[in-house]
Amino acid sequence: MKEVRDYYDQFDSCREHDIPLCAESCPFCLDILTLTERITAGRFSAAYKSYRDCVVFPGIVSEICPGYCRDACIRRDLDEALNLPLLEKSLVALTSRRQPNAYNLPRRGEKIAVIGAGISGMTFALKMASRKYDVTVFEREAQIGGHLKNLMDEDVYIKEFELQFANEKYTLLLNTEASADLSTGLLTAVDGEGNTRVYDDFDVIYIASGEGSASIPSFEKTTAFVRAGKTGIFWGGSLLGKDTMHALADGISLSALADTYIKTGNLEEPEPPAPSGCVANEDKLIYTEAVSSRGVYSQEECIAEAARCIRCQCDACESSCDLVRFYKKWPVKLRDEIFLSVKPAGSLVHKCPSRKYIAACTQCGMLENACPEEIELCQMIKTARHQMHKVDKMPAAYRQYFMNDMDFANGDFAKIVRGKGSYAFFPGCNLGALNPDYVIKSFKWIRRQFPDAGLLLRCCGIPADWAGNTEKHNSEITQLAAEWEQLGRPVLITACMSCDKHIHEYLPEIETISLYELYAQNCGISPELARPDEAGELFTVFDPCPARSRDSVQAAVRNIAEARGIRIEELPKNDQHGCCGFGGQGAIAQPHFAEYVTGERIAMSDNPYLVYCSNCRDVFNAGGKRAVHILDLMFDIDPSGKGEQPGITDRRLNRVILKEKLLKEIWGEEMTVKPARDKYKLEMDTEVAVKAERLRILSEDICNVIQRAEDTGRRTKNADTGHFKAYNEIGAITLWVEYSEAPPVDGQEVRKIHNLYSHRMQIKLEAVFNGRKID
Amino acid sequence: MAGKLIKSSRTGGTSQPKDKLLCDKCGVELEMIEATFEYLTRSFRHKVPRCPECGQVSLPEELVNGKISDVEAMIEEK
Repeated sequence: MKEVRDYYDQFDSCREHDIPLCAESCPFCLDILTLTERITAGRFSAAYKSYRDCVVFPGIVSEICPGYCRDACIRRDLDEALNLPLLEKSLVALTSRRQPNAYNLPRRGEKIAVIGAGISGMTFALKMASRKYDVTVFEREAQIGGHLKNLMDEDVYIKEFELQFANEKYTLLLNTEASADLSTGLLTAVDGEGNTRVYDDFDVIYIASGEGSASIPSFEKTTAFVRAGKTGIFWGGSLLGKDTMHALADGISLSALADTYIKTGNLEEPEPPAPSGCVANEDKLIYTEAVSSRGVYSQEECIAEAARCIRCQCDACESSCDLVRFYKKWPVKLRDEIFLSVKPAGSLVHKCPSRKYIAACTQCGMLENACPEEIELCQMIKTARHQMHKVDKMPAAYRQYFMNDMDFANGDFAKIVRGKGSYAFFPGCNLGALNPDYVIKSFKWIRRQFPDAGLLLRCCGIPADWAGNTEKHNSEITQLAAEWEQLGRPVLITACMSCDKHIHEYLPEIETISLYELYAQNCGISPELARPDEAGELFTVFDPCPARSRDSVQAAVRNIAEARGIRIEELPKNDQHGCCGFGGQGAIAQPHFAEYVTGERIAMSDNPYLVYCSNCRDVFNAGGKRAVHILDLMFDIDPSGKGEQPGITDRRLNRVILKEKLLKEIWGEEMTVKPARDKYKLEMDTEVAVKAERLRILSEDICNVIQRAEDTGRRTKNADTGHFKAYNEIGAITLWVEYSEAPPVDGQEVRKIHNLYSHRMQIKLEAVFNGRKID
Repeated sequence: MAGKLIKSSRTGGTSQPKDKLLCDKCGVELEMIEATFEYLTRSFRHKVPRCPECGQVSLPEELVNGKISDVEAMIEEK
């Protein structure tokens, strides 16, 4: 079996941090997500700061940036790309305090030369000056700005330069033609009066002398730097044929490289970033017209336009996986916590941060389905359950009810292994518990098709797998395989898709066919014949998780439904949805999560659901959503879905009734081994009964508590109400019952239950109390 | 494994049980006396209504669904 660590590396390719395509196309790699988030929140100053930190001269960039991002915007094909250039311009106009912050850093002695006071050179100069280097800028013309004068109002950019340089010192030599020798690192400057001066003391020279200047030999145009003696020489900007925005971006990126060179002596080209794998979530895309404005946007208009950004990020996991959404943790974080949690309890790392969500996961498989990197988080969680169970880090109370239920279904009172034919019915354990008729009527129909069909009535063992109890699960699977052999290796006719999937996973040698496919096939139901009755009730088909992508089963269910005269509709994304809330059996461990999942699924359609998994039917009905099982329609059992749901004690009784009836009606036998009748007849108000149901307390458990109390006298009495209160450990939980005695009925003692509650914590009584031994 | 001790003073406790509770075995009134609890290898003591004679415990629902449930959740997250 795989271990959690086998899944570890998969998560390295997670695209959580891949930037959106707009940011990738931006020369500055502007953090557009933060920018639009701040604008939407009305935090204009903060938005301006993040913008300035990224583009250096916001007053210039906002004026002339052509908006590369707009070509990459996903809105482009729907309504109109987000108008980020206008947002940036408006942001600059709306920000009243634009003065840069002054930082009191120590001056550095290294000398920096910048050749060319165009946009690229000035950016490099500012970035280095703000790092407190000694910066000298050489400009052959009489003014700074280079080719900006052809693009925008001179006043605007001169003011912007002054503003951003307000706290920084640098030396500007106008009318000075400078050139650098790439082999010696010498810089030669000729001033306006023809005086030549050779400098040999620059640590870094940045050549940004602009388009057409011949300072760099053509073969050097592919790189951006060279080491000449102790001097690092860099070049960039329109000298390399770049446009204005990329020239500015060169100034920023090369200044960072130059800084590293000065501090470490290393001169290496940084690795180009990997292309972004960001996949936009088109579900978030709703037609929204762009905010139009004659000049710049007002604050309100800024907020409205920024809100059009759908914040493209790979969120396939968040949009498909309930766990990621509910616990607000992304896969890499989940992986790290899970990895930590499976360590043995006695090890140095004994924390268990993921216990709750590991127990909560519905195992629906949607994340693996949706993730572009096919990260197997669901499988990892299942593996983690097994590992945590092994090192005893899973509270037994999480699973106790489900494991006991499985044991009951596979015990003498409920299990049937009968017949020897080419087919055997495998109804699963929940159908008969819900209503014995589901199994009886189905089996009778099967026997009409295949008179020698056998029956394998038991639980498939999936609760043990979900509980992570490897040992128990292996033993269930081994037993199931042996019983299948005993029946003569028949094809199993399954009625529960979870059983079907589970059998395929662990016993691939067993051939299965779903009851629904067989029924449609044998009753000659085809799409042509399946004509819905126009007056029939409208249902939405809810495919269970294990039937996802099982086209043939899905088609059979739909055809049968229409042939039965109801109209059906599909969910917005057909079978691409998560679990009803039952899967993984996390409802005891994390009831809030299970309720959340059920609520999400219920909200997908206003119509009643047509299901073909008894657990889906159960969960939806309990959540107040009408759901009809396809068997209800096939055998006319509860076609309106309005019948009452049995409680957990009745479910056990139903299993016994089912076995008894089958033995009698099919094989003409009496059931000899029956469970003992409860010692007490219990009376309780609906409120208490609902509570017992929620806590998964059987009447047998309650009787247990009362019997122990009455046998040992260990109970307390409330002097005011006369009620007794007692407790007993029911496996991993401690159950408290408040009750009173009532007159017997039909010779059976009666107890009235006034309240009950349970906890997982154990009460450790002293061996000796007050000098007396505690029994 | 030696459990972590959560001081009972932190989880509070009143000097007398709210309702008048009698131990059915000893016929005496319950008093607030410390008892030991254990969950997932951690143990701690807390004052709860107990029979001073035989040590019989009676936990009120508020305590079970309140503090006990909180502590269980806290330990499960650790």
